[in-house]
Amino acid sequence: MILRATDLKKTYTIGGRPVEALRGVSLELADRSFTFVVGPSGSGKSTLMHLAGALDRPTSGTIEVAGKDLTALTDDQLSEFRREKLGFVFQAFNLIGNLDAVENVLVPFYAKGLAPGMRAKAKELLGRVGLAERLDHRPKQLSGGEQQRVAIARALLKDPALLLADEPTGELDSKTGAEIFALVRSLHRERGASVVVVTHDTRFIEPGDRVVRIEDGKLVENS
Amino acid sequence: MLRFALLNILTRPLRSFLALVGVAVAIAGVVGLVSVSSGLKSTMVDTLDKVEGLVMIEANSVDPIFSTLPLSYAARVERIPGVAACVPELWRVAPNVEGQKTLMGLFSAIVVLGLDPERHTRLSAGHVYSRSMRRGRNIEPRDAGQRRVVISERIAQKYRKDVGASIRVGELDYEVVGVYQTGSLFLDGTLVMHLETAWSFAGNNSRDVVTSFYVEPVAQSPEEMARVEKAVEAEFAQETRKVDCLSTAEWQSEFGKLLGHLDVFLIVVSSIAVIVGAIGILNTMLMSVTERVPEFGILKANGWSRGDVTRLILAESTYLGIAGGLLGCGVGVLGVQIAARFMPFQPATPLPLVATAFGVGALLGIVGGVYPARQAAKLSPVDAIRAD
Repeated sequence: MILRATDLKKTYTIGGRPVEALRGVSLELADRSFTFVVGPSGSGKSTLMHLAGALDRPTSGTIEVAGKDLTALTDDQLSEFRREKLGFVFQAFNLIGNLDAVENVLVPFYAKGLAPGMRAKAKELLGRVGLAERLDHRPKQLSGGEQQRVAIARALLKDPALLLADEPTGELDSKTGAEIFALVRSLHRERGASVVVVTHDTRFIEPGDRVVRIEDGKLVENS
Repeated sequence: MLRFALLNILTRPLRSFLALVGVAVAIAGVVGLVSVSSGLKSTMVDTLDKVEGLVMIEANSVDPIFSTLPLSYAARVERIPGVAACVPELWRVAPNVEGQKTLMGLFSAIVVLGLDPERHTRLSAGHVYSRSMRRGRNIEPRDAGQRRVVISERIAQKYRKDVGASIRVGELDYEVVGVYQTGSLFLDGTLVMHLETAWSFAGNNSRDVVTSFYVEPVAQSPEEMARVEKAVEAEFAQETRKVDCLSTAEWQSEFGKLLGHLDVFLIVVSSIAVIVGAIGILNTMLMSVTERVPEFGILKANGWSRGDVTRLILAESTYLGIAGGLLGCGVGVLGVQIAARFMPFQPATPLPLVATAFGVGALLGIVGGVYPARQAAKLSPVDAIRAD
């Protein structure tokens, strides 16, 4: 099991008032699964992704990812877990502007020092996502689709157990969005990582994909 | 991480440059001020080292110029066991030379020294001025009451005078009979004349008062000097005009006390400069952290811990401090060398001063980066990413 959430609740305080983003979500995702988390804006799907990505802590309930109970880990252990086990792809690409493509891919490992061969692996991954000729380009010199490819390469450098993508095509045109999805799917098949995609866009759902629908902080469909 | 930190500095050139200049100005200021102070101290020590004996002045006078003692004290001092000679001196300020005021600056002041050449022959090594003659001759007994002076090389060059020329001191002209050069900034501001002539110059009608005495002990050991000092002071302890007898070491100590005030001033000015430098780095790093909130979110999402983010910011601010320290030391040393051309003494910039100043620059970087680093480290990854 790559993810097991039990009665997961998350309450934010906004303007002094409690706002329940998740209201008791229980969910299990199998290893190597490809899951879509869908739902309207403000339904709580991004909150679920943040909890699964060890970026935030639940108000109550438990969440286990790759066999680790995230609620039992310290901040530093969560950082290490994100570095070792998780890959992220965000809607806004979230690359670092003053680093070139190779350096952006290596960012997760800059803090602890690069292992031998990691730079070569980063270049190989960039080649795999179609950016072999753009290695020394900075984000401003790349198109939106190319930036998202760099983000995908960055997420895959660590061979993550779980790849989390939050609206990965939200800022791309439909043709580029389709290319990115095709790339994510082929990498999923090649590398076997479990994938969770949070999206409004249901066009890319294929037979065999897991679909989880969230509305008002609750799971309303789990197929 | 260090390369990443360096990139972050280099890709924000204007802001980094401004922070760097803030540190550099502070460090250059410290290097410059301390160099001038050290130069002043070493000039004074150098001067005092040229005077081997003891100087007897009126008790509690800060300088022989402000002292008045009876000439008759000389004979009493010479009777003290261990004293080889005691020669009188009359020191006066020369308020103008060649019609120019000389009291406008600490180092341009010119003083008149009246001495008795007959008594000076009793000194085993002569007087500092008689030992330092370059041209012409010393003041001799035949110069008594004659308007003749020995001038320093510096005065000779400044007023374009040489042996045989006439130099106007106050309202009267004096014949230059010799030129000396001790090499000391303070000693080389003296016009030497016969004591009789100096009395006239000072407007003294009585010939039984001088300002001070140069006392030469038989032995030059510190113990013997100290014994003679005590004996001389005890000799006049019951008199209305008591005396202070000071060795070179004591003059240095007295001057050290004066410079102590200068040091306090330097510490205050340097501290202000250093605080301003630290605030400059703090401001730069805080602005940088505020601008880069989404970046820290990305780093944290990708596994950077609080400690990693803290180290990144501290590395960046330390780079700024090191670069500012290097620039400040360079500008400070260069500035001191340029300023030295226009100064009457040589400022001293010892290597430990430069090393300390550089260390302070690096420390400023670290101190200025602590608060911004904490701010960046405590950001929640979700909030930071959303801030984009």
